[in-house]
Amino acid sequence: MRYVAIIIVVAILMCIQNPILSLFNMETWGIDAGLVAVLYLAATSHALGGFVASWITGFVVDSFTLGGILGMHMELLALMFLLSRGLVARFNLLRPLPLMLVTIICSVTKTLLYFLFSVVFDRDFSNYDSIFLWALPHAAVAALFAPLLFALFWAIDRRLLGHRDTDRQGLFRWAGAEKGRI
Amino acid sequence: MLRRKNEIGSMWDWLYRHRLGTIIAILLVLPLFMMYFHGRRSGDSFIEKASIALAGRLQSLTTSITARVFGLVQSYLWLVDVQEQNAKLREENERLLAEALEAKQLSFVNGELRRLLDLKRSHEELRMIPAVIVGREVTPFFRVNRVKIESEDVILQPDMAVVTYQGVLGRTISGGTKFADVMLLTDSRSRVACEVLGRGILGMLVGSGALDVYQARLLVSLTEVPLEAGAVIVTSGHDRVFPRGIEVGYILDPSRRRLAGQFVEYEVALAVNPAAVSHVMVVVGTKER
Repeated sequence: MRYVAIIIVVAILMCIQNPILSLFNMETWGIDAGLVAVLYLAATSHALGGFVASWITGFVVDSFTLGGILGMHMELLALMFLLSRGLVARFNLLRPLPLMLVTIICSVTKTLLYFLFSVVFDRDFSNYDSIFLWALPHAAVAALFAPLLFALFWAIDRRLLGHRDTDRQGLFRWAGAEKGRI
Repeated sequence: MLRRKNEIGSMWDWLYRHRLGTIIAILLVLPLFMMYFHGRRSGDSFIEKASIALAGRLQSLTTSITARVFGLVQSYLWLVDVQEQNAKLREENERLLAEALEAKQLSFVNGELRRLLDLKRSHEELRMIPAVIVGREVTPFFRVNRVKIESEDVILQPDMAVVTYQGVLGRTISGGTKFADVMLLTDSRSRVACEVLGRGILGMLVGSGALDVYQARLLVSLTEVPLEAGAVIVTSGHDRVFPRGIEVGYILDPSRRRLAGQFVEYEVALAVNPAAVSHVMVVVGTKER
């Protein structure tokens, strides 16, 4: 149920992001909600469930990505899940600074993979410069908003499940949550 | 047969034991195929169509909702800076109004000066200098304006004609290097030798001294034929103050004429309204003199 909720939240975020940003003429500064959701899943879920949820999240992101090729984000987010699962052992993603750092790493890696897959699979691909030009700004924006989105996902988790047993590292102490509550 | 069943069973066992790796491998390979297939940009796959249709509907819905909510917020709640903007707009409005007023005034003055120039050109035999009305005094007894000239060369004398492009305004009654007082035609002391234009009837224009209207009276000999309404009165030049042929006014209502000794008295509406004039010409002499 929590996976479905997280995927729905990602879809809603993808939906509302563009009209809100366009009101302020900031369409190019979108937050990579899919990536942050995958990081959250990697930090708080079991491997199989989190992986499948990341894969479906990728499908949702693909649906909302105008002009992209279907399957791109499914692959990317699935790989990002595996990468962030590896990083979880070294970084505590439930604290803001490590989370922001990992978000930047994953975002940049994702951009590189996006470029690679685009070159291999997309026959109309030509936006080489804009991809690299926006890689760091997008990573910075995603990193900046990652703690907020984590708090949102955490709030959904808490509402749906009451508590979780995956908080072995003092989850969300920075967000005001009590230890072991999620 | 039994061997084959055992092989299949062991395969399922292996897959079950390695289900995580298997699922991950499948889910990683599947998107690669999808990318390969959709990378050709045919756009006709069922999954692509369905996902675009679903996402499109959701996006359309959220765009509409967001636009309405933000429209509401911007129209009614988001009033930050409105006061500042109002103050700025008010300030700008005042500035523009002032500029418009100034432009209107300049346009009026420009028009007046152009007409005065035309007047000077049309009376080339006269020496005229421009002057500005700087003071107006309307007492119960006298109607006098004070004019100022810019020229240092001319000394204003009494009994110089003061005219505008519309006609005669009055005559100077006192003079100096720069300033002079002008007795208006409406002053009860004012006398101007006139004639009815095109009729050759001579007369004397006398100021009415009336406080409420700018009018004068024309005294015409009893022997002359009655004048009609609207008859134009011009200067005759016989008083040697006002040059001949400058418009003075017109007859108002002949039925209201009166007998005054050996003269008939007509009410005359004056051509120049002193209240609406700011620039005048002072006739300082003729070029023949």
